[in-house]
Amino acid sequence: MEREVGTVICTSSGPSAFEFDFVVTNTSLSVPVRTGQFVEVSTEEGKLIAQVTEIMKTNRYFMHAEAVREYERGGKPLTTIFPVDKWEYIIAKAKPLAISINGQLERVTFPPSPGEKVRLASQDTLANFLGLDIENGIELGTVRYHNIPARLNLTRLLQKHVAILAISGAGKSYLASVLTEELLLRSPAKGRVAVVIVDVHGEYVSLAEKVESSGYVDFSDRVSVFKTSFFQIAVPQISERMFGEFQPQISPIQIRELGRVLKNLKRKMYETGIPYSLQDVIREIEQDEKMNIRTKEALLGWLYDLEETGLFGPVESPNLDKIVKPGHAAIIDLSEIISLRKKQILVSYVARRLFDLRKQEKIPPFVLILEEAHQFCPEARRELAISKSIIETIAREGRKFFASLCLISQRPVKLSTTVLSQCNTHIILRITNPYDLKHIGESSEGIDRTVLDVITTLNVGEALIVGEAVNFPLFIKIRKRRSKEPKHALNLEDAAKKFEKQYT
Amino acid sequence: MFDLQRQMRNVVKDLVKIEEHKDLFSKILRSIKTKADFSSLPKVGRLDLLEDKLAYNVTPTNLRGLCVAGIDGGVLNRSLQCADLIITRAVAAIFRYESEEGPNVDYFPDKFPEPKIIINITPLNKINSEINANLERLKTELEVAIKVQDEYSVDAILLNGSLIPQITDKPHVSTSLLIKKYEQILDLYIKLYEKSIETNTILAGVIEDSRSTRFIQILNRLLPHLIYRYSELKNLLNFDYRQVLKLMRDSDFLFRFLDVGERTLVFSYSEKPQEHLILRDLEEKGWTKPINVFYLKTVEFDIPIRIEFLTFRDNPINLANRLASIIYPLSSYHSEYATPSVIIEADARARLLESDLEIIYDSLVHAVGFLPSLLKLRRDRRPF
Repeated sequence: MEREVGTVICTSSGPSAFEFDFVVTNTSLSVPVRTGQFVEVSTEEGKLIAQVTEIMKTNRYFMHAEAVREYERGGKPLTTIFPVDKWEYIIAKAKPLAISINGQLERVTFPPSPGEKVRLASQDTLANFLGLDIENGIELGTVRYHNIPARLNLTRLLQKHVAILAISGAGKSYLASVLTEELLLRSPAKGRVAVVIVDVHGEYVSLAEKVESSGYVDFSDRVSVFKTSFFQIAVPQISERMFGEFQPQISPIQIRELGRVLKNLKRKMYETGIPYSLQDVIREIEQDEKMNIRTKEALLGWLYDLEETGLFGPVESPNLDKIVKPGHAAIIDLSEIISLRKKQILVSYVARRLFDLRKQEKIPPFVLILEEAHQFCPEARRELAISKSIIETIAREGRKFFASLCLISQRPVKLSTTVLSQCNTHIILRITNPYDLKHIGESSEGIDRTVLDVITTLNVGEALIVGEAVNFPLFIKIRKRRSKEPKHALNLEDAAKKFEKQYT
Repeated sequence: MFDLQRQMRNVVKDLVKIEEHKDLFSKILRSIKTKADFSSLPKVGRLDLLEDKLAYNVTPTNLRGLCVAGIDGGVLNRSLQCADLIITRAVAAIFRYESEEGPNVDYFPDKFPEPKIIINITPLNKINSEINANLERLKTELEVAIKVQDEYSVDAILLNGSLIPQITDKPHVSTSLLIKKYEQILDLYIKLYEKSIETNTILAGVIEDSRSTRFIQILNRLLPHLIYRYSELKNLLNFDYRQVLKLMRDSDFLFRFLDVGERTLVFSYSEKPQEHLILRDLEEKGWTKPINVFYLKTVEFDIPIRIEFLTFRDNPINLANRLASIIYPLSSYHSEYATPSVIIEADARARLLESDLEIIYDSLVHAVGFLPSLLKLRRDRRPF
């Protein structure tokens, strides 16, 4: 049985089924109870679970401002005159959340009785109430102010996608690394998924580094990094419609003509067994006599433009159906690419290929972790977001094929509303931008004004989980990484010094 | 049609006129405060006065190292159809001044002692019912004051209230129940005095809101002699100062007369103890040691406090000075409130709430079931 913290008291408004107050009777700890903690009380119906919403201290010696001022007029604090500490009482307000009746959660319809003892919620109660999976869950940390592991059920967390939202530096990538570790550490018996990380800034590559120092888990045998310089999009895998996505201005007639050309090339490829490249497509169009000259010129212009990206070749590298394995992570390191368009083309290709492969069950269920997701599926116009369409498709349909998204963004307001609304679990770290907060408040279920206010005050390493993965908004303290963290980048001073030394 | 304005004007006019005379009287007396010396007056007329001047300066003591207990009691009395339900509680707040950081405080018998429940089924009229409740409070309070001396070694005990029962505590008629209780209270007082002597503890009663006119009576007695010795007092003859005296209480006059940090002369509790209704009762029970009194002004904007103390062994003046030097710092933190901190704390702990009485009444009724004698009075259970 958990620690007793107080006793339910009567006030002018309660106890009611919506709120009750309790006086803190256990003062053996300096902080016996905290706002946000879960407590339980026995009632006629069953075990009532409530959350502490407010804590007030009261002391009769400090109730009259005038008297305090007068007594302290001589420069001596009131504490040196009266035993004021012996008059301090802590009154806490709690909001009933659910009643546990034989393990089943029900809505609270009957208040607790005055005089009932209030205890901190036990692990079993809390796990049941929050919907945690203590046995097999993904452990992201501990429930804040409770020494209970925040283990989230894999299906509930990932099947309907997850979004990690926070300002820069709040620990999004750290949390995503923790999530990745958890997915990689799962045993086959528990069910393993594959992880694909689109690493925009090269923040995850350290997961693949061999670790010899003790105290860390070596994930190098389960993580592969693929630099973009070795990345090649297989042209035979690209349909005319995908070309249309890469070049949004391409007209329907041009797409139709391109389709005809690609069909010819595919036939030849099957005959010869030699895959074709973008150069081959260009050559085929140049030699095509049936095509309207204007259509031909325009189409060639678009294809030359794509050829210049250097991303296209006759075969896929690496082979996505080979690198996506259960309990393994494939990191696609985009840090060398400056052009956003190139990044979007790559992401679009990878996402579509993964989804297609998954639909054909050629790869295991996977999670696509997408850093800076607002760059790849922005709310803005489609032509500015090559990859938006496929990400929205996975967001809408991925659940049926166990293709999950984990979108990470520091600007939720700029993220596609369709995608964000399909992410049924939101893990929110510190956010201060009022527009982003408003957007989160509108798009996340179960977030009220109080919770929104707390989001602005979260420390690094603290997060709020709302949505499908938990039954109730849950604040957690993110656990420490088991893998070695990347070496810290230079600070501004050192970077400035380094530059001057290098170029003067 | 009401004419409250007119009535107000008349009331204010009367008040202002009286206050002007009180001010004038006090001002004249203040002019001889430091020099008036009545040692040359005939002894016979001032046997009850232990000093020769009207006021003395008090030097506050450093409280460090001292242990002072404040004792207070609370009582609630509910008249039922054929019974009285009384609850009492008394607490001693023991302040030990060991460091500059403030007192270490203990409580006796407890921080929040359990209320004592008393049911009186002897038929009493309203006045006697109040006397009965008050005697019960005194009993609880005195028992704590006696026992605390066995548990703690304190330098001084300050009771919230007088050091002897009040005239109003003495039953008017010979109701055997009340007489018996009153006798018990006298015994407890004597036991308290004896315990204080035995433990060498200063015992004092601090009266917050005294209505006494004892000091005024002393002045009334002395002034005819002093007027002819001190020319400053000649102005008193310009108005009917005796009439003004009749309208004043000790606290009223002393608020104007004393400065902060001053006390009055020490005088005995009564000019004629053998005629005093309570002192006479105590004497009949064998108690003859004196109880003396002085007033002390500790803050600027509150009336002086009346302090009664038990005199034994030590010279009463030395004892008064020691007591005044302890009470002065304890009562001077708030410029408008002159009650010793130890008593403020004891009062807060002993105070009983109507809700406490209600809970006890409900439990009682629940335990015994419906009894007509325990029915609340009709005025306390009106349906609307």
